[in-house]
Amino acid sequence: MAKKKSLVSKILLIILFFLLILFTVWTLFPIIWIFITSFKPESELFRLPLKILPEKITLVNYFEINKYIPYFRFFFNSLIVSTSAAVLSVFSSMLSGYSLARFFFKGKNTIKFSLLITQMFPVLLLIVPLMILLRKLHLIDNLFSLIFIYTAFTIPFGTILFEGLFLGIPAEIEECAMVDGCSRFGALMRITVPIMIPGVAACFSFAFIGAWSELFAGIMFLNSQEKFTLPIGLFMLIGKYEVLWGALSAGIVMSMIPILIMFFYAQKYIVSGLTAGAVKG
Amino acid sequence: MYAEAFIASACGRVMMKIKKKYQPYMYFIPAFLFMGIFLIYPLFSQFIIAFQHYQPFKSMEIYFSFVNFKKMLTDEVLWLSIKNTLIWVGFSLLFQFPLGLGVAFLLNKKIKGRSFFRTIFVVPWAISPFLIGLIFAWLYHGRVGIINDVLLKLSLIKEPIAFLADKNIALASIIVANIWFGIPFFAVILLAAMQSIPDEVYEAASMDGANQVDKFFGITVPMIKPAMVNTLLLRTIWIFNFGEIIYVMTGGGPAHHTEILSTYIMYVAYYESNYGYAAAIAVMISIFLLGYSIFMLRLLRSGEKHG
Repeated sequence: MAKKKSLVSKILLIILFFLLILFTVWTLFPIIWIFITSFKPESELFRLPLKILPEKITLVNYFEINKYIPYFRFFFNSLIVSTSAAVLSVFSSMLSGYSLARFFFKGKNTIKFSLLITQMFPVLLLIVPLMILLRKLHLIDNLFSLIFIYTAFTIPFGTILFEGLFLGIPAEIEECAMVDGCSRFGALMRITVPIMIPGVAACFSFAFIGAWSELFAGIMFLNSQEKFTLPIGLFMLIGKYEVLWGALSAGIVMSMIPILIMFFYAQKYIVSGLTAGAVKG
Repeated sequence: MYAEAFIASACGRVMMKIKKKYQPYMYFIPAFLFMGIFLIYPLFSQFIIAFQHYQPFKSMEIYFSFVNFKKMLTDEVLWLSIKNTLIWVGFSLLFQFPLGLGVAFLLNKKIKGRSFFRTIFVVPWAISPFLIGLIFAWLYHGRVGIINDVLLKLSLIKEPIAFLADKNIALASIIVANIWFGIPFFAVILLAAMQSIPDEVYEAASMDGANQVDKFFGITVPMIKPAMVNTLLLRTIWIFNFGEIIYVMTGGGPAHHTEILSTYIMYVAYYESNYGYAAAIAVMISIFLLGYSIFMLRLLRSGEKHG
């Protein structure tokens, strides 16, 4: 009896592994394929029948992309915009998350509710009023417009994430510092924040990835090419030419690198931040 | 001298009181500055713009009319977009949810390398939607795409398929890309919910002679039901607004056959420069989503009270 059961469970385990590996292939395949593509010379890309692996590995796509678009300029612009937006977003949501976690005050529930609601609005839905607002502020074709917008749109999630992080740290340690003559703000900055550096980094990554990935606001609010961010640059490459897939694949691979690094670092926190809301309700 | 000290300390106390009262709000100043100007103000000003015939580069005539909303009734592309949005949301969820649940179920088994698989499965999350659009556009390439190649080699088709240019299958092709993108989201959140179920519950069920299937439908499903409902509702809103992947792959074409409401806003605002109309469409979506999310939060709150 016991033997029979173990045989059944062994077969089940094999099926389980098989399914998991199948799903791994399905998940990784598109990414691996674009990676392989980026090392193939243009002649191999369009030659039938297709070969899975490149006959000749080449880096030419990585150098050539600069011929068609100022890739590194765009990369740099995206880096500036995303980093600034992430820093501003972390700063703002840390303070508001702190307030939500440590104080009881009138309107707290209203604020939390509004945060949940605003979190559901993507930039795209507000593209027209933002356009008109930016015209009034003379911020059209200015990278600051993107920085401010991305900051504003990542604050709701950041605040919710930070509230959770602060709730996980006992208020007593701040109170001790305050008894010793530290101001509340000083206690926050000197005692609490250093403890939760990983959480801060996670929030930073979340805002950074969000800003790095945004396409519509960039298309709408920037006009001059030297200010374009990476998404617009790669998007241009599709529309402008008979799509240069070799160069484009190299561009795709390079633009994935920063966000993949950040994501793997912050994965645990982002996932738990998102699941905490969904699982507990 | 005592009087002075008394007054000073009284003043100090009043100041302290004011400070204490307003302190919680002061921490919101930076967040409120950014969100107030770039999120909340636009959210409200949109309602006004929607009632104006707003065209850029002209002095704005301030008048109130329903011209934009009237246009909606006769705009065939809008109705096509609404239909496409429903198909887009419906079919994406129809596959993402059960597959995500299945993956979560597999990952919930105690097996070797579980955290490795989990890490692999969340990779799509990290990649920007516009990059996913580009990657899938390459997979779907009408001549040298790998999908066409595999189908040809398996002799399932005779001619390569123009996945993104054929109006009958373009939307379906993009939905497949979206399914790929969305499964990990469900998988990870449902897995977290499954892991919050104590082992004792399963052990007790085993003692009563329950088999795997009984346990899944008798314990797992009911216990993760709140998380399932919650995730489904949240995800609906998200997919509803998720236009990047479509915009990159087909730009809403061919002939608006893959246009969903969010890409149509971009089309009206960017290519037609009809800001008033784009705002009106956005207002309709906002009202719909706002009503939907309030309903959803109510539903979840009432569920909490019972639970």
